[in-house]
Amino acid sequence: MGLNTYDFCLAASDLLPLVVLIICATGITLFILVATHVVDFLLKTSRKGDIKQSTYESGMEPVGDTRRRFNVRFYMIAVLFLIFDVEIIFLYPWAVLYPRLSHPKGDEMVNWARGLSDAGYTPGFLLAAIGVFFALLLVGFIYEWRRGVFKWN
Amino acid sequence: MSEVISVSALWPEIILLIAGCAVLLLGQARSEAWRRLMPWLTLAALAAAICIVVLKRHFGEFAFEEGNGLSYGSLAVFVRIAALGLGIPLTLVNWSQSREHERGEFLSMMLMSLAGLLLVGPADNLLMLFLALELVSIPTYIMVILSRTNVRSLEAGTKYFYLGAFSAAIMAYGFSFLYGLSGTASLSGTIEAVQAALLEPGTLEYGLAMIGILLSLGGLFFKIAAVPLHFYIADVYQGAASPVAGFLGFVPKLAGMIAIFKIVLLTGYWDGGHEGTFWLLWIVAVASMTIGNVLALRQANIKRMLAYSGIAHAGYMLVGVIAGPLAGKAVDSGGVGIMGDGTAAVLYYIMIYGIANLGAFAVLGLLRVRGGACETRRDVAGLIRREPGLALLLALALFTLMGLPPTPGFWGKLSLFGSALAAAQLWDDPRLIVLVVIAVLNSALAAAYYLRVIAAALVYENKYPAEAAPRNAEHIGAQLCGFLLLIFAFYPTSLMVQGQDGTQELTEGIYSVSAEPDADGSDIPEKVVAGGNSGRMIPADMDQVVSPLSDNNVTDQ
Repeated sequence: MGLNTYDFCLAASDLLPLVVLIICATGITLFILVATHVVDFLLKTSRKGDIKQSTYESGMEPVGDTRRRFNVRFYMIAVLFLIFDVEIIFLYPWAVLYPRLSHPKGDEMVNWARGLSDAGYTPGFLLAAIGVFFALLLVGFIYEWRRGVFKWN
Repeated sequence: MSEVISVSALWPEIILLIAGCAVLLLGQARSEAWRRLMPWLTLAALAAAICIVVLKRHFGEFAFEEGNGLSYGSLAVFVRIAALGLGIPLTLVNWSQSREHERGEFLSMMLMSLAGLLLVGPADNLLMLFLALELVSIPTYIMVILSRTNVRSLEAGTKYFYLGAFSAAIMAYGFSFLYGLSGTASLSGTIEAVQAALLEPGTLEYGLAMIGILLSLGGLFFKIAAVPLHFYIADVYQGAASPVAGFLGFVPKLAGMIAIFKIVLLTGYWDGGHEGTFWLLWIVAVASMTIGNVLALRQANIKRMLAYSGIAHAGYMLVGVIAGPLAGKAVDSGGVGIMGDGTAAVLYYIMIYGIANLGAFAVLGLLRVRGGACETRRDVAGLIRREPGLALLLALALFTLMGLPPTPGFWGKLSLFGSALAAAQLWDDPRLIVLVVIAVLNSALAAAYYLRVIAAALVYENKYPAEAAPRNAEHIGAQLCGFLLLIFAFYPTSLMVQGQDGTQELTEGIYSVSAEPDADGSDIPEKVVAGGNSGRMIPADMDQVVSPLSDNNVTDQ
């Protein structure tokens, strides 16, 4: 069952340091903001000119709006990156887990591996699961290849 | 017991997935002859999946295969048969959909979406339910964009995608509350915690459970296009090609409705009559019916009209959800017990709505006016002179949506509203009678805009009427829809019984807090009476009619 009101208050009291921290941080931020504006107001001199008014005072001259067309290749690269990135994200924990399950060392690990195998998560199942995952990614990869994503001109 | 589901339980889904990948890749083949094969391959995959489902059902192998967050019960069987069966007219109607070199992608997305629908039925885990629902929805966004080449379909697809992502986020947020409340993602575990929390109004748990239910249902209202999240539907239907709009009228709606069943089951509303859930569903149903119909009245574009009427139909379906399955099991109605089972009526109605909607959109998709798409009432005027068959088919589909007596739409509305009346009698609740009155008034209102289109197609004269594109598969698909409507007009029980079989699982869930198969492998779940009712008590006569309840009062307590 979930938490009741008493538990909730108890949990909230643990968070007191965090609340103090948030209040301090907000206070300091507000102080700095107000102080800089006050000092600025007292000390500032007003100078106006073309360079002073430009978007980036010491930087490049802006040549146009940022809302413009991008080459579709950037998008393709992003999608390709996603394929390999997701692959690694899933592959890494799998690669850590799999040898422990297939060749467990020590009593604790053997028991753990046996428990998982009894529940149906045998090494063969894990291998098949990652195989299916790879196959699906491969389908996406072949599809992109056929659609000519790798043609660069 | 093994926690991993056997591969043999998943064959229909696996076949659709493999076929989806194959169609995606082979659709890129250089030779045109290969690419022409893609719709055939889609059809073959659906046929193979149907064969497996029918064979498995015949040999009784559906008995509680479960694991990995899936649990195959009666609802899953219904969803499989419904989705795969209607998949065939869907494929036929979409036979030459999208541009020629993108047909592989389109059909692949369709297969993926259907595979997702098949997984919604057995999903027994919040995580699995969410994934399955997204597997239904995400391919549909792509289908909308692929279906046409003009800017409007891009706009429709983009809107659909962003609003769909928004609704998925709402739903996931709601699921997270339910998970946080119960500490488990499995629905059979969540049901206990949520029902216990809803028994104590005013506590923190009650608030958390209500927020979870509200947000989960809110996200699902997007899938069935019920009122608070209905804004996308007209633009999406108008922007998508007509057959794709027919697809959107069935697959996401069935998925959403099954998920709504599962979430409503969590609240124990059908058993105890939880007030918060009742009002939530009641208000959404009334608002959907009324707003949908009033907006549909103002449309000259038939696709927009059908979209808005889809909102109204979602409202009618929610009447069945509010009625719940219990009245059908409790009232000894002598052979017409189907009429009391609200959830069975919803399943029946959603099938009929899907077929009729697909039929109407298929006809619109086939027609061409001066080389352009046929969309407005003016475009279909005088259709009976040029294309009598299609005009009659359009009329049949619209009469069904309207609910005219001999059509299956009438049987659907009869069982939906009848179940609400049975429930009103069972619970002695006048609010349900008010609901039925509003629904009937709305059905009468809806006749106005359907009849205007029917009159345009059958009665009006037109010097240059629309003509049909010469596409065999699409014609066969449209005729198949009309044929199915005629079958279910004269043998409605064949489908209603399927719906009632499908909802067996829900009534079992009402009496059992944890429906687990017995250790010896028998298929009858142990029935435990759900603890306490918040609002309504089970009437005394229930004990005599519903045997599980009385049996277990003796054995378990």
